Amino acid sequence: MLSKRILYGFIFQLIFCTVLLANSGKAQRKNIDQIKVSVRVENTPLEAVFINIEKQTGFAFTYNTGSVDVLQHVDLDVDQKTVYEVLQEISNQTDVRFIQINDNIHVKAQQRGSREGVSIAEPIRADVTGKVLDEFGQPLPGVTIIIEGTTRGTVTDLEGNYEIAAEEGEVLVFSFIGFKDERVTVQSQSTVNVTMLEDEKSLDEVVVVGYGEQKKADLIGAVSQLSADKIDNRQVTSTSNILTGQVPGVTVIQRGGRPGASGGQINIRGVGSFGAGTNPLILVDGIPTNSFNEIDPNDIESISVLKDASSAAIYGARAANGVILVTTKMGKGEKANVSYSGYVGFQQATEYPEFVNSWEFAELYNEADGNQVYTAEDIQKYRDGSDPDNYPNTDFIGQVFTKKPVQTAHNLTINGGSKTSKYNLSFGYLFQDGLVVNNNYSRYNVRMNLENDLGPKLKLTSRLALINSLINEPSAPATLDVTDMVGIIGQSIRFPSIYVDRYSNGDYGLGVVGKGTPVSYLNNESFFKSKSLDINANLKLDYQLTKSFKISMIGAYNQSTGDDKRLLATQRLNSSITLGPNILTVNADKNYYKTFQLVGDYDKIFGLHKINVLAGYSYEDNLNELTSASRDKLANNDLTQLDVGAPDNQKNSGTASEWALMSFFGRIKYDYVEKYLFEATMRYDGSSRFPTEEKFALFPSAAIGWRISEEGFLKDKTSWLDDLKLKASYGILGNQNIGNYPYQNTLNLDQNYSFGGIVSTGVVRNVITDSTLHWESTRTVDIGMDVSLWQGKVSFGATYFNRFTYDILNSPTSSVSSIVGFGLSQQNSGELRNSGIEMDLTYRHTAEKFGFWASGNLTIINNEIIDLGVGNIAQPNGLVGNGNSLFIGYPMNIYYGYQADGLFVNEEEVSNWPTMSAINPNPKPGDIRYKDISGPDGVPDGKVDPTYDRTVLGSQIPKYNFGLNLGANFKGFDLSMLIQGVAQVKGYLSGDAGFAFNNQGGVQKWQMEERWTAENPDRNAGYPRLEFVSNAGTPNTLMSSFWTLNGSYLKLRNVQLGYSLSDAALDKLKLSRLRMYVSAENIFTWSNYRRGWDPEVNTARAYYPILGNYTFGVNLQF
Amino acid sequence: MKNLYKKYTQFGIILLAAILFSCVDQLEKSPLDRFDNATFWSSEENAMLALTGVYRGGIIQNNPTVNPSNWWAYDGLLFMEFASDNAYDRRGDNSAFHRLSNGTLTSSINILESYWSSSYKNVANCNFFLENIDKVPMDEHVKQRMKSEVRFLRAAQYYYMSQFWGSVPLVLETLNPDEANSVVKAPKTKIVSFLFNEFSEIVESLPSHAELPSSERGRVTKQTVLAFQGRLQLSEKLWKEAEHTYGEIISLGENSIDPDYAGLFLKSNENSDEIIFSTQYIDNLGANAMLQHFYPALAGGWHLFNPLGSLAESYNFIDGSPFSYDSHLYDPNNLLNNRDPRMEATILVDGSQFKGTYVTHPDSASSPDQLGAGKQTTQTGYGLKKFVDESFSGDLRNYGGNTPIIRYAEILLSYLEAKLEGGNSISQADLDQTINLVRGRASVNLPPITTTDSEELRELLRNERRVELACEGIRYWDLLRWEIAKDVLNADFYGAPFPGAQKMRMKDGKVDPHNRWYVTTRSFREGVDNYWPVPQTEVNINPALE
Repeated sequence: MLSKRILYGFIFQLIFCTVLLANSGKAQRKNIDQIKVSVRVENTPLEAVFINIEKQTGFAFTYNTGSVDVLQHVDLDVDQKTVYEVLQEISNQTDVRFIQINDNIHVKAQQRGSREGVSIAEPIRADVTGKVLDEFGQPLPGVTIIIEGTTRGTVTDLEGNYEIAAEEGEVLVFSFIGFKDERVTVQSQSTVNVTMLEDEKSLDEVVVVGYGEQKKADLIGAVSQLSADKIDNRQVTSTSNILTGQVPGVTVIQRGGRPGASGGQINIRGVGSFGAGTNPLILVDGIPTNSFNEIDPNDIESISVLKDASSAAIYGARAANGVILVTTKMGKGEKANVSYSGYVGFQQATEYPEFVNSWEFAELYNEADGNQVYTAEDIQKYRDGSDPDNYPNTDFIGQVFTKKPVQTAHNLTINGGSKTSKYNLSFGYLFQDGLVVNNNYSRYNVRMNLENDLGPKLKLTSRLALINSLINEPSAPATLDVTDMVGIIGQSIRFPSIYVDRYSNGDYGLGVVGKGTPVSYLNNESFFKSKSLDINANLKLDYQLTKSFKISMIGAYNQSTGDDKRLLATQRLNSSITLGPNILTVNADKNYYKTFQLVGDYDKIFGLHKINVLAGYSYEDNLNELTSASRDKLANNDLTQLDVGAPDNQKNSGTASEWALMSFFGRIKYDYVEKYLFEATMRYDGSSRFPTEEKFALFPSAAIGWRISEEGFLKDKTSWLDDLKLKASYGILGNQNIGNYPYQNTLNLDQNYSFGGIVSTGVVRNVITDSTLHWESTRTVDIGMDVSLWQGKVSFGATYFNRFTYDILNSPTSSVSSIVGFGLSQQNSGELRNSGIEMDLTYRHTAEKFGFWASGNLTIINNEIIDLGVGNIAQPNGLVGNGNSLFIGYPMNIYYGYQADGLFVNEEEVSNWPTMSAINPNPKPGDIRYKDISGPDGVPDGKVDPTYDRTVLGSQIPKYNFGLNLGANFKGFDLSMLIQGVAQVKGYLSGDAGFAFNNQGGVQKWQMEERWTAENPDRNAGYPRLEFVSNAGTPNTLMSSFWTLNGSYLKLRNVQLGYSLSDAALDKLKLSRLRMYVSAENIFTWSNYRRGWDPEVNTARAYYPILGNYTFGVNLQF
Repeated sequence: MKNLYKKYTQFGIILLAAILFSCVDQLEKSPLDRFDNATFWSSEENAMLALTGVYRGGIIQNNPTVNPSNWWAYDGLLFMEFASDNAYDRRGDNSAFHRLSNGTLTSSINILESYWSSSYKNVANCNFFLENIDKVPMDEHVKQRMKSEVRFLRAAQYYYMSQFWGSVPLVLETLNPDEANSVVKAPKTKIVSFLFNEFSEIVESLPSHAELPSSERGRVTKQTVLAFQGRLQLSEKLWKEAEHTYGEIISLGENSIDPDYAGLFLKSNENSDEIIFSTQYIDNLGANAMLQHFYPALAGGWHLFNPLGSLAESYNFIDGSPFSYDSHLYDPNNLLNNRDPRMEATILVDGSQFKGTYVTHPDSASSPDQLGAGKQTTQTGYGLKKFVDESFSGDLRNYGGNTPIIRYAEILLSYLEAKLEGGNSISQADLDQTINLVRGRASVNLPPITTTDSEELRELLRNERRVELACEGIRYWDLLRWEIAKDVLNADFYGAPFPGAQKMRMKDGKVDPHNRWYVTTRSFREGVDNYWPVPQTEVNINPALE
């Protein structure tokens, strides 16, 4: 970011600078109005004219090719006129102006809105000289230096040097866009060297947008950017979890903490479709990625989230759910920097469910059964533990989650450059141990970013990244109905404590399913290993055709290979049961992605008008190949290669699929003196996923902005108002996140059947397809304002958005009767709206000794189904929808069921209650009282039935999302904190996670303590009478408000305390920076969710607890 | 310099043009691992691929399913016994199958949807096949046979639906989603007449049992069609017609009663001529998970299938006399002693040998199969032996034994029943050619039935049918069509007797006179539970189906 800021800042300064350049005086110098020349050229580049004049006069022209187009052509026919006059003529023909400073003639771009010609700087005697550097020791060109209270001033040159005449006691003010002002009082010294510090929040901050960057002040799209400091100091293992609570409009829900797969679901401004995928499009340095979660946070320069139509439209085809742009770091300056950062710590689950002891279980079992299945004698044996083989008390949760696992990460970065190149090399390593034995995750990241000037106009940017990761997980032994780690964890949620884990003779207990317990599942030679290697190569060639026009060619290739291997081992449980035969399965998944893009970028200022035009073409294609093979009856569990397996039951399978996208896109940006801003974008996209006639669609958008603060009546009249901007955008974006072949009418394999003892291949049509399938579209309106006050001390942004999605690519299976007999492929059916407000407010007090800042954001999202198309079924109860999960006028992801009105307390009440025979033919005291809401006539009909008495109980989509960042620094200490929460959201724990005695399952402590009993028939008990629950459920386990949970929470996500060594101490250690910190992630949760369960977890049992961590780390820079 | 620019520009334009034009075609992608329906129906081989797919239907292989996947999958067929007086679902009183007949049946019970959707999935596959097969240039006889097979497979779905739901939508062509959402129910009579029509139209073009080469075993034969026609006639009380239909199978003379009873349900004898039609499974490659579900805990199974005392007590003594706890032939130490040998082939009792000693005694705390300790074990004291192949040593989910759907024994018993209920007088010869063949097979060898009194014979025949076809998935249907569910399924059910046991599960604290383990109580609601409600998920979508 820094290098870009410097570049932009420098250009900005050159364009807007009102201070004349100064130089050291040389006596007896002649001015340009005193020397005469003759020039006669026709249609000749400026550069040639300059050389001509230099030869005649001895003046030297200086200019920066980045800001002055010296290739523009001029006609001159002058004979013996002053240089001043000649330059004036050139200035008239072009958009440059000239300033003579001693023997140099500086060529500068014309200032916007004015036409200056030629000027001559007064020679000034220099008293003070010096050099201005940034915090990395790189020279800062273009820094303005003004003597306070005067109009005298100067600017640093390209090497950061300056000279200025100043007297003792005068104050030099150094200012540069993107940096904090520095003030130095001139003492007796003649050299004043200054190091300037970056200013985080500045109007002139540059924001990464699609195919470019933009000054925040000029931004009219809804873009939020997270900079490196908010990213690389977090100890999360998945990048998506960094976004949680940090960006208004972005919801991240993490459902589990499984190492290597703990990324959260990211939704930008609500959930945008009930058919197609709603993941945002994520690009790393312009190239789509599948490995966002695996990027080393240390490599990230910034993450930009494009939320509205205008900012995302340049990626039209896939931008409907927002776009996330990740920019990786590039080298800065010429000095080689070596930095190291690393941390080590331990992790801990945020919550564990708690289960009852075996004697409690036995008592509760008797209660549920109604008979004395366990005698008092049995229960006593459980209690006293005298016969642990037959009357154990096993803590399966405790025996599965046995570790307090370590987490550590290290990163080494080397960056720097030369005049013509920059580089950034980074090596990262992450190790995350799991809560369960044999479970861990390690990752190696290597990234090399290079920028080379191949010539004055040609620049090559090459980026190469490798991500290599390895996941180890335990697996269950052979022939179980669970095979993977979360399945084993799920069994620990299920198995009650009355099952013995291990007999005194060493045999394993047989558990609920007669094949062992989670303890034996974890204590054998089964394993799962998943290796993945992502290779990303990304080349970009920029060709600066003229000063205003640049062509870029981008080519990228991503290859990801995933190889996994699972052994389900044989295992001896006891003398009569040995699980087996063992089976080995290997899968190879290869994905090849390539893209070619061509972009032209034209940037020009015409007087008061600034225009930027971008046009481009992009082609992407992707091939995915899967191969899988297995053999069983391996000779033992040690040799785990396919060849070791028996040949008689070897199986293999393989398949492949492809997709391609071709797009043309363009964007026009216009602004009038940075006051009135306009932008229009369109993208014409073609996708292989739609039929020939429907492949292409056009996605246009437009945005306008008005910087009121630049108007005459406000500008420079209010010292406290930096910026006030109103903005609005409107546009249409697309979505095609569906399968690769949604419209082809096909017959699928995998439908074999045997005749006469021989397997025959069979095929079947699986889905009905729609040959008129086309793009899903989202029409987005966005109206917002940005305010910045007191030199950036306070900034505020608020945006109203309204995303209307139509032609939803929905497979309406749940809306169509199964009488249709086939699955349904996607159709364009349905409409959805996500509307709401997002706000952020930042206060920042910066000072060297003590600074603090607070930044909060709030998003309110209303998700509402407008139409289901095929699924518009009028229900007798008045709702219109698929009768199950989607209803017009309600949000998506709802819970639909009965309203509970406490529990029956006695028989009399049961008989007086409206009959529930349709759903509970035999209600008993302690059962849930379901409300009779309505009937055929729209009023309660004295019956509780599924037709009239179910209603919408809430949604899994949080309506309110908020985050609060707090930070402070005092001397060398820094402290930061992130609090995040959601409100108005429902959760649900089903199966073994929700119900007692589910499929021979256990009982949680809260269920025991809160249950209804005949002795204490509490209407408002937290759990109904105990009963056995089969997988068909019971009348009490029907979906009802009794079971939906308040999923609102407030989490303390991160707290970090750091200390940086002072410059003096660093000098002694020969370091340029050393910071040490302690940090904690996911520390505390406030919620009313079920005891033992994290409010983000919605599960039936198979899950992985969400992890917090406590780490110590260092950041070192040599 | 200028030339270089020009070259660059020219090169750029050519490159750009080349890329743009080459890429438009790249947007046409076709699936790499599926057949395009437009070109698929071109050969007999392809037609056979499609026919195989129709046979498979939704049958789930190599994976223990929670819910039935097909009427003919073991999980769809055999689990139906849980609703009858023959067996109890280990999953308990709230098991969906139990709730079919215990008075708590509601439209939300998940298996209703499983049966319903698997039926219509099969119907749709059949309709789709029939709508496309005529495109295939192939031998007309072969094509006709394929069409008849598919029409039978479709008819079978409607047969089962008519028996359990009565009135359901009769869909005979591929529907689009809108049509599927607005279909209406056809009266049962219409479905029944459709079925009779189908059966009579297709039977001629199918090979008979003897004509079917062994490589095609598992495909539909004349006898299969006739057997289902007979079942429908029995249920419709068309006794004369049923007698004729069953007589036809008998007179074809291609099937016979196998001397080996137990082997019929194991891989060893699964291709016996007694088996008329069966669901085909094969070890590993197209296997079922039945042994996982049915094996007792001591052998690593889930013990889902628990025969009830009611079934155990229906097996007579070896001399043909009815079972009684008071008989001198009753051996409390070995319940299988002196009993109809089919009991041993069907039921595991406490102390049976099955991969070790199967111990279910409620006091045997150290046994994995201990009854009533809240473990995943028998809930009745009995285990299933029929179908449960002790000799199998592989992965319990990859067992290849077939599931018989129609056996010749049923044909003979149904023939006798049709004749008896049709009001014909029954001769000893009739008995000897039917029921006595069944109970007289070498491995059973019970004394022949000699009574020809219709009332007496009806009872004997019904009991014979019960024990002969026990646990094969037909009992619940028999109870419904005999209209005795209201009596049989309104009772307390007990398991095995355990005299002297410390721990006994008793109903309301009352000691059972025979010291039997109390299992459950059923209260079948006559007039309510005779037909199943349409699944709630379907009514949600199409309220007209309620």
